[in-house]
Amino acid sequence: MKTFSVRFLTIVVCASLLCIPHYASAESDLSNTISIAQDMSMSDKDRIVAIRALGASGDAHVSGPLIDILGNLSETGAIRSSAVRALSKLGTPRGEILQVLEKVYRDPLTGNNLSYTVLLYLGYMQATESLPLLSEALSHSNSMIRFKAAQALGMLQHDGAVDALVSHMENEGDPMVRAEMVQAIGQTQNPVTEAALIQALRSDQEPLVRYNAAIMLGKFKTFSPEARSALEAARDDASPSVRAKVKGIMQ
Amino acid sequence: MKRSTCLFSVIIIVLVIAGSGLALDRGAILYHTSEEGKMYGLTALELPCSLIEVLVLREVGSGHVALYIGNERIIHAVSGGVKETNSRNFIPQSDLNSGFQYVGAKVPLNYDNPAVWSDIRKSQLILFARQQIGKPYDIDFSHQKGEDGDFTCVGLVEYVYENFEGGGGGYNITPSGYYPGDGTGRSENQTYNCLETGFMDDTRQNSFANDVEFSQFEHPLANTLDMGREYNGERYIFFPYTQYLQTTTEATVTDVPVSGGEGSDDDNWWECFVATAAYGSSLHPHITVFREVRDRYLRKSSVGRMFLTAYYRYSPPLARFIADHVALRIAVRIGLVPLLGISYMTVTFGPGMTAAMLTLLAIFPFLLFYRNRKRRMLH
Repeated sequence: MKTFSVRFLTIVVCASLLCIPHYASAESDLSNTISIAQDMSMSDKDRIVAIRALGASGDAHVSGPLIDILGNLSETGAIRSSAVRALSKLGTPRGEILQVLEKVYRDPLTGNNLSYTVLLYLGYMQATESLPLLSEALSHSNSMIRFKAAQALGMLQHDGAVDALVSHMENEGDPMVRAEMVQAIGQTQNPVTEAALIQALRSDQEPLVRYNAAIMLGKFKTFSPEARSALEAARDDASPSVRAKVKGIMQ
Repeated sequence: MKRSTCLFSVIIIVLVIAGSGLALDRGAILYHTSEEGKMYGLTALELPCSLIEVLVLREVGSGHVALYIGNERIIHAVSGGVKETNSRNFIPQSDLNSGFQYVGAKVPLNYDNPAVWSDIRKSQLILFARQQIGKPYDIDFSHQKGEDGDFTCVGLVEYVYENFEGGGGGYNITPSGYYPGDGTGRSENQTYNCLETGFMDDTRQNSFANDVEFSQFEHPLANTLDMGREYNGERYIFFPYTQYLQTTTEATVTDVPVSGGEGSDDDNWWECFVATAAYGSSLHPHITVFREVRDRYLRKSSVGRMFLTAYYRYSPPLARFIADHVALRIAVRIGLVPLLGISYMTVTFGPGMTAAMLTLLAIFPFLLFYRNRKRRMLH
């Protein structure tokens, strides 16, 4: 028994010794990657590759350098957008990352495309914690912000997100945003979303919105009597495209 | 009165008809070359052969593609990811100065036929394109069409057209597949030869694949640098001109501005903003000098970066105030003259020489004063 223990201990020690250089090397690689990511004298391409690698590393320690890059206003939009994606991929520490993303979105100096990226990646992260921000973004004066907020809310697949989308549908003036809202609502399948889609299919003035409402209703596994009735009624829709789509769904 | 009203109505109707007939339709695909009019396929490819050349010359002359979404806006995949911007930023002024050329716009066949391309179908295309905004750029061209969520410019447009109607729908611009180069005429294996630029077809004319997306690509460093998409142990790339050549699309008139923008993609509108506010445009030559100093020297030193961070953090309100007051703008422009001189010297002679000259300039009055004092003492 004693011999076995000694042998076991020897194996563990040897294995540890073999692993140390490996860990040291991995740590050194990560340090090099961080250096490249932060080095403003390097090309954007090299830095983006390094930032992406940091995001994929799974090491929560790299969140600090990535947050610094994202917060640095002298960085280009390309670099900062890459940092947003890397932080989203990294995922931890979640609270801190979401806080930084929200801060960047709210910064008046943040350009439009960086804002769109932040909203999209809040969606990818299924950030229900950011529900207030995403709901608020549905009232933004920039219609593309509202569009990306709707897209992100759809990804959350959350009751609160559905409520926000449904309540903003009525006041949304841009048909393209309303069509995206309908697609987002349809990501969650429950009686509330079904009712909202039926309402859009029956009464929205824009054919594009009715067309998307029909598509999303068609994705429900079973049709309720109300949904079937709305789809039947849409066979006589004023738009030939909506009629054709509904015909395909009902078949 | 009646006649003038009638004439006015006719003019309005003619203008509306003319306007609607001329407008570039949303969904149109825009193409431009790289610098000096180079575009892989349209002109001979000049790929770097050695590692040093690759590191120095990253631009391979691939050209660029964007999707027009209406209202003078485009969606395109650039190094920062998929972005939406003003159509003037398709070829920014700085790229025009480097010889980038507009190639043209194309739309799918029968695009003006509502029975094939209804208004809703076009809207669905744009809706789907807008959903891609914010996704990453495929920087090493290993996926291109979004398989890993990342796109090249041509891959994005192809992906949007192929997938905007969900499973089984969409419009296939370029037949999918890999062209291995089996010597069948126009789609001859597009081997790059470092000694003699390749891409010759059977008639020994420089040509380009026009029937598949991915063309085989041979290059001494292709594997080392992980260039392009790997398929059956070979390397393949889908380039803009392959898509441009397709007979599934036809040329259309471009009547919206597609060049001369600031190229900011809306993200860096604030750069050099105090000076921009004073000069009224970020394209002013003096702003270019300031920007050169920032990119060449300030960004590369820790002190410079500290200055830039503080500058970008605290100056925007000041810039807005300056922009709103004409007299202040003139005053700031005058006040910036010494800084402009120093910046110009730094860009022209380098920071060391500039510092030496400025030191000499600074101590010159003291030397003069010392000499005069000595003279007075002697007298």
